[in-house]
Amino acid sequence: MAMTRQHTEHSAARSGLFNCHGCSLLVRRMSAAGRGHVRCPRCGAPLHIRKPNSVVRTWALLIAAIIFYIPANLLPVTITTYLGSTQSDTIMSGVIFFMQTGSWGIAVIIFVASIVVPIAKLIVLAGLLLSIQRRSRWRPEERTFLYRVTELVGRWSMLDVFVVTVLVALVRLGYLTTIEAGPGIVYFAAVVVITMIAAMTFDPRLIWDAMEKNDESPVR
Amino acid sequence: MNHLSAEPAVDQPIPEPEIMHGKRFSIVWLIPLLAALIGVWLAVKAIRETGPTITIVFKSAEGLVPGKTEIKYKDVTVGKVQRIQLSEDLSQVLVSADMSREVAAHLTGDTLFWIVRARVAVGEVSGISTLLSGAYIGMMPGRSGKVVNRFEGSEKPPAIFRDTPGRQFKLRAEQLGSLDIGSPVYYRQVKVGRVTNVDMAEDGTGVLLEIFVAAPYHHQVKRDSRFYNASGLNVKIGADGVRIDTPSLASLLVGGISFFTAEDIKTSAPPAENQVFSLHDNRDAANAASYSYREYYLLYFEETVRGLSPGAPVDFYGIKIGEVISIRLLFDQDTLTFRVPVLIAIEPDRIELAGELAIPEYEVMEKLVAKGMRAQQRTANLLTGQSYVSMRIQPEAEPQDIRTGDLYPVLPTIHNTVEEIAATAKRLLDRFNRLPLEETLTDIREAARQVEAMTGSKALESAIDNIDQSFAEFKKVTSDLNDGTLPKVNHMLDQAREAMARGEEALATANTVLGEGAPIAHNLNRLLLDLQEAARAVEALADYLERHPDAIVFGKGNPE
Repeated sequence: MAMTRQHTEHSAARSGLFNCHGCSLLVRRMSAAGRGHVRCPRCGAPLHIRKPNSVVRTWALLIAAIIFYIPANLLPVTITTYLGSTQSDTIMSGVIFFMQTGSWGIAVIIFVASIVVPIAKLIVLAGLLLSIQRRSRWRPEERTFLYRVTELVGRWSMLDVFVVTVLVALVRLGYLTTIEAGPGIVYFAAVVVITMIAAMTFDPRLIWDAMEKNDESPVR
Repeated sequence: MNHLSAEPAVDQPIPEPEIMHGKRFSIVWLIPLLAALIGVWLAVKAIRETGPTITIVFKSAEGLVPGKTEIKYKDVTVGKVQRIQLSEDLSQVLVSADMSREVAAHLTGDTLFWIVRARVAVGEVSGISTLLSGAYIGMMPGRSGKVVNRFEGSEKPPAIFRDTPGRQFKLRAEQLGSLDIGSPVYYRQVKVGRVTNVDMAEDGTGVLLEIFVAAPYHHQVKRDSRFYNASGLNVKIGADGVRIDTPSLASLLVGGISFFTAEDIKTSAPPAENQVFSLHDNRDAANAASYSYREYYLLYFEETVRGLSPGAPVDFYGIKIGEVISIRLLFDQDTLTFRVPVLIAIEPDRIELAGELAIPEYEVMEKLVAKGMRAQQRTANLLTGQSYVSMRIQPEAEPQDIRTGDLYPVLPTIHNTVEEIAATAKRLLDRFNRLPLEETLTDIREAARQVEAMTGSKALESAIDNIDQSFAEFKKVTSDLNDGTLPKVNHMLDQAREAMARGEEALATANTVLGEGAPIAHNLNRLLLDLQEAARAVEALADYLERHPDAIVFGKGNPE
């Protein structure tokens, strides 16, 4: 039924119109607009049918995120000095530590926020990009839903970064205990931020473009 | 534009967009490029920083935590323990550790590893930080040799770091006393080093200590330096008051070693490579025992060694060259004879040398024995009876050789010729003791008193004084004198003669006993001589009175 609805509905692109991202002004699409940038006559914002270069940009950011994800997990995120003994924890070792000490709730939260979510995001985005490039017509609604979820939960991965930031600021008890941010957290933050940007640069309308069997593909 | 049905509901014509020409290149690829660069950099850094993995064998892994315990050199972390396993026979602990690359080249075979735990000893508290942080593994990089990846760890830290300039010395002591690893070493009460190792001598007859004296003080240790245990308090109460000797308060509590070099041998050579100094019990002992090198000889005496005791001197030409170490009594079951083996130590360093030695050193004693070197027990003090061992060269002695059958070379001995003399002297003393000296003296005193009573000026003077007053009775007196006084004087004279004779007798006895030269005897002689003189005067007086009885009244007339 979703399929049938798609065929009957019209998008701005199909109607030969731009929808200005800045002021939502509808602008007529000109044939000359094949090359170069078009700007909204009202607010001056660049006009695109789809987010520009969406697939390429998302891919680039995604690859950067994947690269950063490796040091983010291998390098320590916290360096705890407790009564003279120093302990470096990576994300995973922190999760294991909480599991071993019985704090299952915290372990699950950190595990989900810091490991499941980023990985899921990377996989989902990669999957969506691949499906678009293959012009897949498979379950566009679910894929769109996945994208929405990805965009929504992506920011929650910053939780870990905030936790470390707060801990570092709060736990400064001199010789007793000191927590320092490890280099891993920088890469982890980079992963989170870059995947968020990747999710933003990704244009979910591309999922539906494949459904619109249009010869004049809006995807550049 | 074909799909009019899809046109939005806007009345106005939809405006045309402005067309701008921008660059085609998408800078977004810089982000993954940058990420890749960072990733590569991290990877290269990680690979470059990764050092070798080594295995250290410990007896116990007490305090070691995998993934946490660090390996430190000069308090810089150079590695981390990754895994702790038991050896196959469960007797040891294998500690695997990742070392950093910077020390990789120094992990040679002589690298030392030890576990640093909190150590609280009197005098020093170390490794306090490990109380809270747990133990860590200390490391002392090797100096040379091949890089290996398996090491023997020790439980104790090395007392001295290898790169500390200075020198290690060996000491041998009877007992450890209060010394321990880390005990200080003092020179002129300045702490110059410490004890680095304590070990039992292989044969169990003593304790071997290793000390480290830091530069520049290690130059103060000479071949003839003497070490002594400076632990505790040395209190001396003497004529000059109370003297308390202790290097420092710390050594009073912890113990310590002091050393000194006697003033006259200051210029002596540095110690030999493997010289073992002996550690004396105290400074006095160290002072006394100037000479560490000793040669031991065995003497067999077949006579009484009463008066000889361990520590008695061995002298040569009257100069001490050694001492008696032990005296035993040996019963020879084959011949049913008793012998007294006496072990002596001779300190050759006490003898100054001149000229060149043409023969090997060990032949010197043989040659000397061939020349008549003999050991003899002699009495040092007739009164206390203490004796010593005297070495003397008697060319007329029967030729004998050093016997080497025993544990020590046996020096030939000769009989104690002085023994007889000593016995005579003892007999003489005994007789002297038995003499009725008291009585004799009383007799002499009595005689002297009597003589004095007679010659006493008081009676004589008063008599003469009376003469003036009783001039009238003069005739009567003179007649009386002829009848009565004279016999009395005669009697008195006899008594004096008797006393004198007795005194002379006593004098003679005393003379024989005491001989000449003794101060008491001398005084006695003088006293008796005086007495004799007095007696002779009395005799002369009596004689005169007998011939001139009137002399009492008229005084001594001219002998015409």
